[in-house]
Amino acid sequence: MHAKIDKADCMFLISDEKFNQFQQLIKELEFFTLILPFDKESYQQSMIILDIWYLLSTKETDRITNPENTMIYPYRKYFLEIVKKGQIKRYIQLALYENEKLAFLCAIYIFKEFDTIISEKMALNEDVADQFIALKKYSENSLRPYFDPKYIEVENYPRQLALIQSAVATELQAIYQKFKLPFSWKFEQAIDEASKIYEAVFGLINDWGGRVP
Amino acid sequence: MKITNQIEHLRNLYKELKFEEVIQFGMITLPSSLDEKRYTDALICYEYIASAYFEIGCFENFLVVMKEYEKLCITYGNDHNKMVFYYLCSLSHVFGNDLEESIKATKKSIRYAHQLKRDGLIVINYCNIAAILALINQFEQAKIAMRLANYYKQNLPNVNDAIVRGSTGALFYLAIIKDSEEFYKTKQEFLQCITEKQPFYSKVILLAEALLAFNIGQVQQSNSLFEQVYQKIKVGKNKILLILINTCIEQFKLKEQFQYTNELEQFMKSMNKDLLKSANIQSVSKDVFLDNIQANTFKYPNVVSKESIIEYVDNMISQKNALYCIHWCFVTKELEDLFETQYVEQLLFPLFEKIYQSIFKYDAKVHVLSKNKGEAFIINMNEAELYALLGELEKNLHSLEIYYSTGSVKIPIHFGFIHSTKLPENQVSYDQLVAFAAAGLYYAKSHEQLYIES
Repeated sequence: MHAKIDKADCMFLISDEKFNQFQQLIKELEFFTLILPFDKESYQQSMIILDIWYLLSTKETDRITNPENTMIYPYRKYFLEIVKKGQIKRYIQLALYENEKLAFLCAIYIFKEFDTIISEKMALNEDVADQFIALKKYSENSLRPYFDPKYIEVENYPRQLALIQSAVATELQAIYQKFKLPFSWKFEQAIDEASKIYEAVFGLINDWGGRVP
Repeated sequence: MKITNQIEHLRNLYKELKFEEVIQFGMITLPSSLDEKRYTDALICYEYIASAYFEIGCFENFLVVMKEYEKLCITYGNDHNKMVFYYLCSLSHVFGNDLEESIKATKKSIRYAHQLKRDGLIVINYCNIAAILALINQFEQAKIAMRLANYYKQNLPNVNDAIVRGSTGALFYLAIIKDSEEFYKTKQEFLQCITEKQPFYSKVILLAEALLAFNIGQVQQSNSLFEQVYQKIKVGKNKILLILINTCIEQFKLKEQFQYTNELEQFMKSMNKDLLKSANIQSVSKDVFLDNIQANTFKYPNVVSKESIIEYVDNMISQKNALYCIHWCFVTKELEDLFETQYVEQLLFPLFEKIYQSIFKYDAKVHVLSKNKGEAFIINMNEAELYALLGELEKNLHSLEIYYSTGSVKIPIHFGFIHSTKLPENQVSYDQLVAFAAAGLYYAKSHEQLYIES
């Protein structure tokens, strides 16, 4: 997993401390990231995992969305919208606010499950499948440079990229509307698997995120 | 059909621990698989032959087979082959004493094993990596690895080849962390698993016990156990275990007490030292499986993998060297619609070579991103030189046409670039440079320009 990510690309306005914590977790919990397939390894993958991790481990009232990035990354925005709709058991949710490791594992498993289901469903719509593959090609790097003011003279905004993102994001919304239930199962399954593996390695989860004595 | 049966026979021989026979029979099946171009079967033969050489401790032959295995794996290997290759590769690095490379290889094997849902190899790899990490004092990570091994072990049947192989790693891990109680519990479980195979594994168990005895301060007992292992293996000359004993005797300063010191030293002198440098197996560091660069790596040593180029750029930045990052891309959509992918790749190959010929006049490193994309990092280059280079490349490559029976098709090329000084000093990194070069390339491509000046 990419450890060298830029906090400016996060979908939330995130403090240096929190961001460093995430980078530390990438190193510390590297073994858990080995479940992610090679071909999915990219800068944007790490960023989505950071988004999910921050979402799970921070209370709604403390989260501030980065407005600039909602424009730059509409696909990630909708991905996160779907994650937000997932139901989490109360004791796990409470633990997630306290336990950054558990939140990290949940983020990894949620990403893996959702990415698999989204890729499967995107492939079913021929019109969007190519756009989805095209968008993946941009996932190696940050997209912020594409919106750098120095290119304004050339083009107001990266039109081609924006069209691809918009098509894929719209399809993602449609997929979610059509397959709400499978998404909900996958979400529960991801949280379950992450919790089980967490407990096997670090000890039982209780509602303040520590170990049961 | 015949080869399929032979492979099955090979598998059974291996399960029955008849390693000499695996080698003999494998050496018959391998050439016929290669003759019939049944590379998938040939790769399985390599897997069994290499594993058998490892089990009997024939280190030299193990490495020779691994090199051949690697070559075939690069071209024809599927994810299963790569998973096994990296596992065996990690073992070779342990005995070549390159533990960092061994850790890298193990992690790669684990990733393939996860992809293929092969819990057996996940368990073996985690047990091994736990032992290696404990050896280099990374106890926290080692503990996580061992617990993960136990977690995935739940999915396996009680008596399983993976549990047997994983147990050796687990014993060494427990010996290193001095956990006697858990050590003997694991040993008991291990013995129950192997029943009739006990004589074969007894040497490894004794060795782990010797290690544990030393670590818990029973030096005499440890020495005596090392001697017992030595007596057992000197007849069969299991070189891998002999190397292990020698390492322990040296590290634990037991040379004076160990009664076979002279014999062991003689043996080590007779070993081919170069072979021990398992850097001969390059896939781990150069990551050839993940990067489609193999052909050019030999001809152009400065065409490197992603890992290597990141390391290079990080070094240059830390040494305050300013550098250009250039991305290029041939637009091949039209060409691909007309011809098959392999043919397109063949057409692009000489074009990439033309780029190398111009770029390598400067101090550059190149990484191939895909069949039609690449990136270069060049140090000691000024703006005028950059434009001269782009001009030269334009002259040689811009809008090349490929003629075929009923017409012709163009292969346009575009560039995106950034100089490290254009970014704020605290933001200069491989990822940032690449992101800006990619953005430059995007605009050049979408506006059908050679490059966009920024």
